[in-house]
Amino acid sequence: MYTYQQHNDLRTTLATHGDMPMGKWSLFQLAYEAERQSLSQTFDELTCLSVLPAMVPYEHQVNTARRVIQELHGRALLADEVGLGKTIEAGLVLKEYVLRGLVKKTLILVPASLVLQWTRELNEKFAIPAFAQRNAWSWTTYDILVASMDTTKREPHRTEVLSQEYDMVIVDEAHKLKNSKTRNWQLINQMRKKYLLLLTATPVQNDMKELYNLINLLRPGQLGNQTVFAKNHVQKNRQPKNPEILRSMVQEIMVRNQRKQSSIEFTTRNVEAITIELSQKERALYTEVTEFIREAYQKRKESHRSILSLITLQREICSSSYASMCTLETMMKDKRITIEEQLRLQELYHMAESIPSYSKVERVIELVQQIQDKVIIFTEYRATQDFLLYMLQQSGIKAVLFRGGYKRGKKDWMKDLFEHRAQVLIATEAGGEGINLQFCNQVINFDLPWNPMRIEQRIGRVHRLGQTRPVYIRNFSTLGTIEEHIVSLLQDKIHMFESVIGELDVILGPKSFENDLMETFMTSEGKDEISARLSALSRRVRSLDIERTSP
Amino acid sequence: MTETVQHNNLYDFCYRYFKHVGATILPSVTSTINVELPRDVDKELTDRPFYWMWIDAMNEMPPNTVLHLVFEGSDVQPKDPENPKPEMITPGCYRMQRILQSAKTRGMFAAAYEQAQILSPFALFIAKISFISDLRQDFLESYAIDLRDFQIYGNVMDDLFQRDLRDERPTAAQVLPIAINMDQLFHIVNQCIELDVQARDHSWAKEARNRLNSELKRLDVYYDSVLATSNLDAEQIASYAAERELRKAEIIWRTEPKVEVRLTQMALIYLAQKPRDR
Repeated sequence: MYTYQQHNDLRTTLATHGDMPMGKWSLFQLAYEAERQSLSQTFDELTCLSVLPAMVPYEHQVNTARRVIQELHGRALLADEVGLGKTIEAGLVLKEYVLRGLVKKTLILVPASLVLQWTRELNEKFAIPAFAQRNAWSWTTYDILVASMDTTKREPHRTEVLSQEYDMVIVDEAHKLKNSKTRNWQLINQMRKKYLLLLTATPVQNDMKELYNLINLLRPGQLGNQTVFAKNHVQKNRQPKNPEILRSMVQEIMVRNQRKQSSIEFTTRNVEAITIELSQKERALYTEVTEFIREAYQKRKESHRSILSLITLQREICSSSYASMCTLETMMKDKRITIEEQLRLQELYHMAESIPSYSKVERVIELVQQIQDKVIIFTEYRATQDFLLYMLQQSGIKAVLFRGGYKRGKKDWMKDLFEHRAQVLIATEAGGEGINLQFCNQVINFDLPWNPMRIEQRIGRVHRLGQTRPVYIRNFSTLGTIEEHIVSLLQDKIHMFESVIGELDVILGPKSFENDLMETFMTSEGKDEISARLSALSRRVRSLDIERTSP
Repeated sequence: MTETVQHNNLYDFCYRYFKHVGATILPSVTSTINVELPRDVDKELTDRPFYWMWIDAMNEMPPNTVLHLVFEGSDVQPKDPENPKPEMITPGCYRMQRILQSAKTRGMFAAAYEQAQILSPFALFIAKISFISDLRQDFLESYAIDLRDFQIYGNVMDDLFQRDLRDERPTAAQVLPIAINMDQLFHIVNQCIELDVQARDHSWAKEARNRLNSELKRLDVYYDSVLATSNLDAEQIASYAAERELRKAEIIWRTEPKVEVRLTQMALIYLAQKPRDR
């Protein structure tokens, strides 16, 4: 039933001592006590809790660690909502395995900006001797290593990592593994590992297949093969099918804590929509662009061409006309468009160019001056970001940028600058991930993502454990544009900002929100129809929510 | 580590450790230990191999290291300027691990005598038995073998700790001279442990074995169904096959029930009376 292994090192050691046991009885007693102290006495208890030097974990974190170890046997998807401390849970699990002598060699893969933070937390909070990966030697030099995913997947590191055997692998921000065609996913799939923890607050962003891909890394076949999964669990429109069955199967491998269930008190959130009137010139541009998009949308739908660039343009024009100029330019270069469209685009481009000042930007400067405290401004677009930086600097406001593409050192440096020198941090979506900015409590959403899963990631940067002040969230809403509808949908109808994303649900929620929205905007006649259809959409989301929270 | 290490026990353990390894304990206030380390102890408690390599090569005689250990319940602040580098000792901290490891190495073997006229020899063994699957449970067992008749007594440490055992042989004592065959003793104790292990409750192993089998079965079903899809090219088939082998190996590595036995300590003890099983 079990394999039996007997170690004979004591016999060998004794032989080197002349085959005669000699030594003090008092030391023998001490050694016996020392051995006793390092035993894993039971299968059931978490032994790490009594030895954590500088931390008392929350109850839900302890329960999660216990469940991962005892019920999920060390391979799990930790999908707590943002700000509940997935890092702590992973640390507890790791510490427990290390103490029990089950884990030595460990690799922790995180976004570049978090490498140092993870290393520090493991050392300080858990007394786990973790090191940050620095060069090609690190892989073999250290037992417990924290490395950036992007470095690890490149040569020569990749080959080195694949030649190791890891007792445990932890992947933070694991939604980067949602696509099984990517190098990220394949790296994790090919690694030899005993225990595996995947951490993400948003295991499903757009598509049910993302969840499938994550779970297949942990336990292939848990959801059947892809065809079976698609047949049993995915409806058209990427809606889940047989949600109850799916949920119970997913629960065998996933732990998800929600804020409203946990015992933690979070500070309050104050949400406000800031309405902005466009200037005449801006309004003219907006109307023209929207008109153009509507026409192109119908045509492309009929010819089954991608509508992605149209969605982008529609969203950019809401963000700032500056941002839309890039996309207009790219579209002009597309060889498939007609001369007529070409001329139309050129005209739009010139209109955008000639806009003298932006009402939204003026409002942002005004607000930042009023707040007189640290502010984070989120935008989806780099062009808007650059423009904002320029305009803030012109008004004498110190601001720094934060983007996904920054290297580890630069991200830390920017965060540091923001904390100590600057008043404003202007972040794009990708840059918002994985940094903790609890020292700031003011968030301005200059534009909103159409994907509700990503909104919580934004707010989670500041509204998390460790935030001591109430959090203020301001959503910019330009009157008479699609943005007005979006803000009202997310803020008033879905209550996106008061409660939390979990209720929109990981498992039930990944209806392709973006496409639904676009469809609504493009095919509705007039404001009232849009409103009505969005209400229907939000009811659908909320009814899923109720379905989910009822047992 | 477990609740057997209470915080104040740490102080007690460290104090006894330093005393018995011959370190000089300097005057200290409550719940702190100031201690001057002999060089051999220093090498075991601090991690600076290159320093020692240099010192030994150069024949240098640096002053002995002094540690300032602070335990829970002390009012010494770890950044007290009067006290140059006080060090907070908590369960599982780096220094504590080194101390435990040093104690284990130094106390691996012993010879001890009870204080009486007529003494008979016993071989005492300590064994660590581990039940391992994806979790682990350890047991520390003690066995004493009577060297005259090879009778084995189990669970003897509580009894022995209450006796007055000393390192020196009492001058007036008569010790029965007995030839000792070490290989034979190790063989006997190992056999005894194996029987002991067999007699225990192994529902844990059964459960792990069942889980392992069902996981392997699930993998088979999954990969068979994947490989049965018609539109795979040769490269994909090879990569799925490799993945399948890897996942299988991982599951066995993680789940397969194993019993690991390691003898950790051995002593020759001379007792006036047979040990009592608890």
